[in-house]
Amino acid sequence: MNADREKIDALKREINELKERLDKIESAVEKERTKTGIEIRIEGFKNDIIEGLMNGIRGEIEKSVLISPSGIYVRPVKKGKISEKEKLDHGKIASVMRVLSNEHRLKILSALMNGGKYASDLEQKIHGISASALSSHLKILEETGLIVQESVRGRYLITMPGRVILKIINRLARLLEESEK
Amino acid sequence: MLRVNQCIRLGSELYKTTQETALLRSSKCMITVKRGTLVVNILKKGKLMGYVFYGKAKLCLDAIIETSEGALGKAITKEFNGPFIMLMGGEVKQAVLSTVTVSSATNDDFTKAGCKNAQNFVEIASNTWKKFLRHVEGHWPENEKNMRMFAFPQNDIFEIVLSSRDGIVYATTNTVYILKGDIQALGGSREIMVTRCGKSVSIKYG
Repeated sequence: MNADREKIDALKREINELKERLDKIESAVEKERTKTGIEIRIEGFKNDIIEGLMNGIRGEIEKSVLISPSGIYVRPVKKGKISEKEKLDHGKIASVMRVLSNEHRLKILSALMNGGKYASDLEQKIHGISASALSSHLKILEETGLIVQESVRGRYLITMPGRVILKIINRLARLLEESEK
Repeated sequence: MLRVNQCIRLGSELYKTTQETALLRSSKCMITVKRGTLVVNILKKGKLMGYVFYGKAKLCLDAIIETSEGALGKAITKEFNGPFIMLMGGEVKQAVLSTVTVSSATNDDFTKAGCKNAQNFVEIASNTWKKFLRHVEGHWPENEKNMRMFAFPQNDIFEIVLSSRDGIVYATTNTVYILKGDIQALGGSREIMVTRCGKSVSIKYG
């Protein structure tokens, strides 16, 4: 248990060091930008890197450490074949992608990133969407598990998977955009 | 522990609800009973302690916790048709059911609600109360203001909703949801998540 804590502390220290390095790079780039007039937006990219690192670390901890009422255990590392769980289910992926391949649905998810909203708020926020279309999109997103509706107040909230998926596709889109340049 | 003694008994008057009535209404939970639901008082030393209902009830509970990484849990909507118990503490006792929302039940009302007659309803209510006392242990804080407890029989267990001024507890076989002030906890068969001010801790089992 102490060894795990030490590992986590070491990783935290490493992240902080990386943050400091990135800050230094950012300030250097900023100086360069003012000199050359080249506009480089690094803030979002930096946040993505840190967030990616944090998610990666969290995932690794979840995979390797088991917390139960009787104590904390380190799971044995499995090597070799890809487990059934890790295999790609192309049908499932395609059906999720179908849900996401709609601009209005993506706008709904983005609007919910800053907190729960009522259908009327979403209708105002997303221009050019009718109440019936919005209702249909909300239903699809809810069925897929990307959002959830409160039964008492009726607000819509983005779920954990919804949030993660939106971030991933956002990053993918930016990566593709970058590669086109 | 809820003590089974001679001080607690069911009332002799039998009622029915005259309109759809909300027994609990908060931002996270709502429990309503349909019009025509049968009601009998639970009395302790002659004072109102709660009710046994028989009829259609609806439970809406948002067992959803909001974290900075997204929402977790689900909205629970359940409809019950049969007997269930409501216990009350403090000042809410007088406010929940009034002469506006209940009136004396007639023979027709018992058959409409699904009972054979008044005697049948009393037997069902009495058995439900006895079963509840056998299954549920704990101290009932009678003087706690705004405290309400609902117990819905589900096969051999009870689904419990406990509501007070600053929180809600919902417990069933595979889900426990707790809201107390700014702390929320959601426990399933494989994971427990606790959150406060958007920050969360998750413990997974196996």
